Amino acid sequence: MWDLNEYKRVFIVIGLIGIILFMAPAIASLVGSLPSEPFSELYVLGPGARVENYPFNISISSAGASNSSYVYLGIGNHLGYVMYYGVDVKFLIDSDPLPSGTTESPLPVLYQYRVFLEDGQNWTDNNTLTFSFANVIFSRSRNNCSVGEMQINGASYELDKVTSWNNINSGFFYQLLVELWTYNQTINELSYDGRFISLWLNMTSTS
Amino acid sequence: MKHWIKIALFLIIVTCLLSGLPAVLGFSAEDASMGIAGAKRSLQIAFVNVSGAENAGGNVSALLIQLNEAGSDLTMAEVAFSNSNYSEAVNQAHTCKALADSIASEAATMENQAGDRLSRVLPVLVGGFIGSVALIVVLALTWLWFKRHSTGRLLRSRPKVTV
Repeated sequence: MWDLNEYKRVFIVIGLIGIILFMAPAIASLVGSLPSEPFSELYVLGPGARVENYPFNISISSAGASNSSYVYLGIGNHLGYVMYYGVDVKFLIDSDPLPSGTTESPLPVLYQYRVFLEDGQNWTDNNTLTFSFANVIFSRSRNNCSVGEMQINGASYELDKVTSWNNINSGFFYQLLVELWTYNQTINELSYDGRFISLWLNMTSTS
Repeated sequence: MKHWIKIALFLIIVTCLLSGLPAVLGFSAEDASMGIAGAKRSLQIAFVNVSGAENAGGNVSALLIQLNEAGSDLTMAEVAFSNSNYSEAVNQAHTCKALADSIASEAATMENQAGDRLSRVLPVLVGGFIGSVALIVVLALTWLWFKRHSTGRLLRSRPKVTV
């Protein structure tokens, strides 16, 4: 048999549980539902939307042009709120500086995607980055390769990208760089998010 | 007299054609550049308003679909610009700007209608408070009744001592 003090404790516990249950919806509304670790994701998939068969060897015809290659781009928003993303595409020779976790590549943007996503939403379907090259000249005397034009999703960009033969890895190497930018409401501009992906490309002559 | 009328008509037609010629032939790189810059600003404003509408509790899914369309238009304007197709660049930039301005206005309306966060939470907060107070009162009354009932029962069950 319980004494009165024990019954008193039971009443207090029931009261506290009841108060918590009554106030829970209001507390949840005030706190919101922010994810514990907000982040954005950027990824590149090969043809077939799989993590394989990424374009690497780019065959250049005797006319100095290549066939089209493509990859799939993807972004995921896990920030807990809507975000305005910019995806910048750049083209580098192997001696150009890569971006870091805080600083973007200083090279000019060739092509920019603009994507708006809700929390939990992904941008993946049919977002192909299709590219090809023209005016590519291999110089045996200078032992280098010069890319004069690049087409991205049908748009042409004049370039003057010359790279030397890489003795260690045996190839004329370039990089296709994809950077993720997010909209910063403090400065009212897109700012570099610190995420980037680079694809190595090796120009090979078929002639 | 008819001869003069013909000349006047000819001059009017030539003037009209010349005044409309830039629009027909295309725009300069500067026009396209300004158009793209304006479209970029509009797109930023539209996003900020959509973000505000979401904070206010509005459902912005439909607005985001439109924002993505406007973003594609801006990319196409930049592609046209890089291909020196300035007329197309101006057209695409105008399409982007018009859509972005419409989204911005719609998002601002949605934000105003949704009100601020506190005003949305207030009824739930007040309801929770009233419910808690009611629970405490009911529990207190129950406790008082239970205590009296329990003490009475205890006194009634007191054993009688006979000497």
